[in-house]
Amino acid sequence: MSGDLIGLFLLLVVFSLALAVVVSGYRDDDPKLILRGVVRRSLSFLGAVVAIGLCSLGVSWFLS
Amino acid sequence: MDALAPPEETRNRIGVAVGLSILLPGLGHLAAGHKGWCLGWFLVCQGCLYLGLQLAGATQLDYGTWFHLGQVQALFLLLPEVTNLLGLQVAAQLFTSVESGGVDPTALPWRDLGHLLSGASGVLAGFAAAHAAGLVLARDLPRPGRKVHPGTAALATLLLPGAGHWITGRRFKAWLLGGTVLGLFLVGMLLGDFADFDRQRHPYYWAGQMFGGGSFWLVSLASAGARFTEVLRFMDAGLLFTTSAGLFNVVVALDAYHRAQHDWLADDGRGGAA
Repeated sequence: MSGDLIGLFLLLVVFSLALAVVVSGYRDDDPKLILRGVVRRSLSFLGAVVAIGLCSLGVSWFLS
Repeated sequence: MDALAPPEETRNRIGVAVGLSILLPGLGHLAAGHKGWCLGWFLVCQGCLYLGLQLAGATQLDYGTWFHLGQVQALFLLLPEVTNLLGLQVAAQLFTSVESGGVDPTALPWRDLGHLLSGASGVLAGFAAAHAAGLVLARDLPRPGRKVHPGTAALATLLLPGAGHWITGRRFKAWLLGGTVLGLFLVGMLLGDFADFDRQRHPYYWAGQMFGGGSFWLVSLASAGARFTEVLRFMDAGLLFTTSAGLFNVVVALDAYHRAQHDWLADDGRGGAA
């Protein structure tokens, strides 16, 4: 169970980074701006997915 | 960056070329005044489609559906072949899937190659539109010193993610974007034990994967015989990664086109900035 969660979290980190690289690369042309955008966007996406996951978990516990 | 745009007349001509290309690959090039490219794109796209249908016993048609207008069969929808619009409509009338005749599609020896070729015809048709658009720009606003027009940059991305940025001199973006797309694809393939690229099992994921272009297609050919034999721990994530990588490559190609167009327009025609 914990192994699965860690694995899923790592996959989420990888996907968040890839998504952030593509979006930042599309938005900007300057390497510094791209790298700054990658950090910000990957953390935003990762945080949003974790928050939604925690909300879902909370609701499922509340309803069960 | 400040976005530069072609003059309105050129934009209109680009729109016409793109529309014609989607209708029939090559028509956009004809409108741009390039008969050689017109013939080349037409032959490549239709050749891939019809050879693919032959090799796979037209089993591709089982994944599509007719769009009806009243009683009339108006449009055959099949991803990603539908981008080669007229070619696919004619093919849907001419071919019948061998599966409807009782043949087991998995027994067809060249089925995977057939599906790859027909799918590639649709993807190539989309990029033919970008290439035609670049040629229209190059004709309307000639820049004698420049060899890379936006269509070439988009096509290079289809060949290898990041190559479109590389040829426009953006080495950092080429490594970053190309490495990300290819890396995400390979991680996804590893998670799926290299059995992810399979139209029969995942037709909608497969359509997205096809947009990864030449490098993805080679990996697909190399792993053609691989099939899922058990439920893998992260196979769903693998499918998500490989399909996202294919769709990300479209974004990368659009960016390569956009940046090359900016460079083209920023040039004043004598090699300097406008």
